[in-house]
Amino acid sequence: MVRNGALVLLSLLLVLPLAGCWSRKELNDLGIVVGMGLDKKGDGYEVTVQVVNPGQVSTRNGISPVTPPVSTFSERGRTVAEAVRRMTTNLSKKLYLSHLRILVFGEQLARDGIAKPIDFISRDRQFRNDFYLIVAHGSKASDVLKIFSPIDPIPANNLNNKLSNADRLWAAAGQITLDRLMMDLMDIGKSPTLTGIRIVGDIRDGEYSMERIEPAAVLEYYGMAVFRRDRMVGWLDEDGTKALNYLQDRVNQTVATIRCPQEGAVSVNVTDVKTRVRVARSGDEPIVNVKLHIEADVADAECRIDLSKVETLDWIRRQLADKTEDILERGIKQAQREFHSDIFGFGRHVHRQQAALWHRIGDNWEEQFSRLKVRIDPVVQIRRVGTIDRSIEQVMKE
Amino acid sequence: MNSTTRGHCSSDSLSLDLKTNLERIRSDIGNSCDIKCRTFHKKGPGERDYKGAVLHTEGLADVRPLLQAVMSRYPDDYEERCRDADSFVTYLTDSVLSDGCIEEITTYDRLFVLLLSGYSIMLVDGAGKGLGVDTIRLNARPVEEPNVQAVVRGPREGFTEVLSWNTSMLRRKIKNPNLWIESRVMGVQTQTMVAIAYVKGIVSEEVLQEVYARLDRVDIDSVLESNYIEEFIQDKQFTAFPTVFNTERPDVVAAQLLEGRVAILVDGTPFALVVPALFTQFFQSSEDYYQRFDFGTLIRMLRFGAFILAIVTPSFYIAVTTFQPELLPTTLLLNLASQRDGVPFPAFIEALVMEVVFEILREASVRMPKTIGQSISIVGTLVIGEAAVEAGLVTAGMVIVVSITAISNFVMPAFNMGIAARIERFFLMAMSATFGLYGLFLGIILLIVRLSSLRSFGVPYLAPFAPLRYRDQKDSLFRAPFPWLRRRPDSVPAPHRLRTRRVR
Repeated sequence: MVRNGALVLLSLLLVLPLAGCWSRKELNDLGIVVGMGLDKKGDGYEVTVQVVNPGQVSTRNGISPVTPPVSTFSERGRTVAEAVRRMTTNLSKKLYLSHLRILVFGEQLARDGIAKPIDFISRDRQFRNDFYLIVAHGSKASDVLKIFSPIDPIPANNLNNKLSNADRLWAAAGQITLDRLMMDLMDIGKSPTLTGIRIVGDIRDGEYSMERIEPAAVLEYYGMAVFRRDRMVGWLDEDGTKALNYLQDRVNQTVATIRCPQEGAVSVNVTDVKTRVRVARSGDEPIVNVKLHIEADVADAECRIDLSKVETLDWIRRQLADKTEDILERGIKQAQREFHSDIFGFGRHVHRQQAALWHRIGDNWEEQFSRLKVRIDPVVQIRRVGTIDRSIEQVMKE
Repeated sequence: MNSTTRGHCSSDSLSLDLKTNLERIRSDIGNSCDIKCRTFHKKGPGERDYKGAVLHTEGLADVRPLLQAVMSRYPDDYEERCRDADSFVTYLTDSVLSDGCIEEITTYDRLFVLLLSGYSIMLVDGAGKGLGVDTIRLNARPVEEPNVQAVVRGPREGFTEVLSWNTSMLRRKIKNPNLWIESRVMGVQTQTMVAIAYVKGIVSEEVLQEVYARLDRVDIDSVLESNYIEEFIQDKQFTAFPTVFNTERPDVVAAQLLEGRVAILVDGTPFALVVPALFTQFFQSSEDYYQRFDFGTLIRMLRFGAFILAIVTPSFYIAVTTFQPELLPTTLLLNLASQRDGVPFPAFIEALVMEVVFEILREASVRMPKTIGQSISIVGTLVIGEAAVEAGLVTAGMVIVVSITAISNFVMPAFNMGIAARIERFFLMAMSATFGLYGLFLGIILLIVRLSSLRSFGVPYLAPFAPLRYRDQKDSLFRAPFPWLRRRPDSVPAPHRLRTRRVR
């Protein structure tokens, strides 16, 4: 008994070294990639990675950074996978892609189509789903990854946080992760969009400097890149992006300004938006009804109005509803006339709510979308006016 | 009393002749200097002269009151009642000696047992029997506060090395004739007294029989501590988890007895054994019952949490940092990666070295002379804490992991469960160093399988969790208020469930 037990135990123990530890990787052998940029280069791609320099990031006291917290490396390749592997020739560490924070497409690459390079990104098991994909506005992705970020030592991290903040508080950006992009790419009823980023200032001057407080070049999110299938066809501006977020029920918070009757403006904090898309049909034509429930607070009143009066609030409500409707309608028009691309996902709603109709018209949805009738019906409620009622200007006048 | 002999003592009867007897005793005990002999003469009726001797072991007995009584003037009926040596001995027993416990001795065997446990032996020339008089005066450690299992609120007395004091402490807690204390002598050479205590009517007869059966199997030359017996009676030798509970607190033993358990107390050690032992029992401190139930419950959960921390932390750290860094939040990964910059060893070696260093430190702090204790602990904390990190030999994260592990270990009220955690920790570290999180969970599954296969005196070790007993959940992970604890735990077999019911 004991002999047999010992034999079994021994053979089990001998199995351990057989397996070895092949997936073992010590943290100091990893080049942690936080940002990746894809650009078109001749026939293939130029891949740029932003790798963290861990020693310079940590907050160990007494050691001031002597080298930048991140370094970028670029390498060319026929495919993305090849370029990533070729990177080993100029990097001492193994590229570790699981902690990627941001993936930047160069505008040229985006216009040529992102389907090919995205295959590697979604196939490789190291990539997680939680990084954001963005498009460099009028520049190469590699340039975007070479700009220093103030405040946050890791630029890619900075981009990531900036995007989620902008999306949450301003609604003029979109947090597109890999899984969302893939879903949009596969769906005829919804065209993908990716947030754009542009470099403000001189790239050359975007160096890290101890003498200057104001950074010479900053990265700024601006609008969204509109795709038809996998090819980029144009840019949405700030209002267009807001329209996109409203229509997709993805607005968390934003601010809207309303022009006052005389001069000045009132701003409202939009705190909660619920968007409901209903698809009706008349014959073979789908009709989309969008119902918006907007809750807002008054953020400031820079003109002579009295917020203690019900009429004033009614007026604000009407104005905000009109303004929102206007933004949405212009956004939809732009998508229909200029891009011919259903970035709002109306097709998806048609598919879900009028399945029979969708089977008939879905095949040439792009054409159908261009003449789609959309009715917007915003309902606004003002919840709070803040700690004072009449505007300061009004009080001073009296 | 069991008096099997295999040593030098012979089972011969005492001789009639005092001189022969004394010579025999002297030679049997090798003229040991601590055996003192005092001879006396006592004038009897007529011309008779009673020659006698009093023997005692120095330091164990106080012989003076006995001698005073023997040498004093005897009552008036002395002359008529003492016809011969035998009646003289009877007379001494009946009318002269004032000491409590007197036993007649006819064999050398018994004589030595009594002599060496502090009795005074009185031999009279011509009498076929001697007297063993209880003159025990122990120079033992007084009852003190237990220093291993301390409490904030609760009784402050702990067992001592003297068995009779220990049983008396139990008696004081349970004033009930159903508290039965049986004794045995164990250890062929040491002849150690072992007491088996239980509450008749509450204890399950099967468990009791099992205890006796296992004690019968004990075949050992010496019993110097209760562990000598524990290793004979425990269910499985090769497991780090203790299946016999030990405590130095009489209140704990009393509570366990009243739940139907059996206690085994050994002379010469303050640690009593309690069986059957359940896994949860090792996470319960007597203080859970001395503080209000809410606190008791929270503290118990904390202990389970600390136990898991003590077993798993280093292996989890190894697995996550070397195999699955994608599980870490990015900021934490960067932080850890920056710490690891320039650390020469893989995380597993690092953890192993740190854990071993800590074990060394702990062992040293237990063994070293108290006077140099402080300097060692300063060196230890500085060396394995600050300096090792400063020198870049280990990461600060690893120091934190090791300290969390170490501190969690001390949360365990039962020291031997802490030992189990220490041993299994290394096993899990090896598992996660080879297979990552997969290995870690494999190891945890193995541990749980092992735990569920254990039994303590026929009782499933993991009860009341596996097998699940709903009623016992009130007093395992949680501690319900006393009014709810009307029943004894189902996990320990006992004939009567209701606590308040009078037994027999």
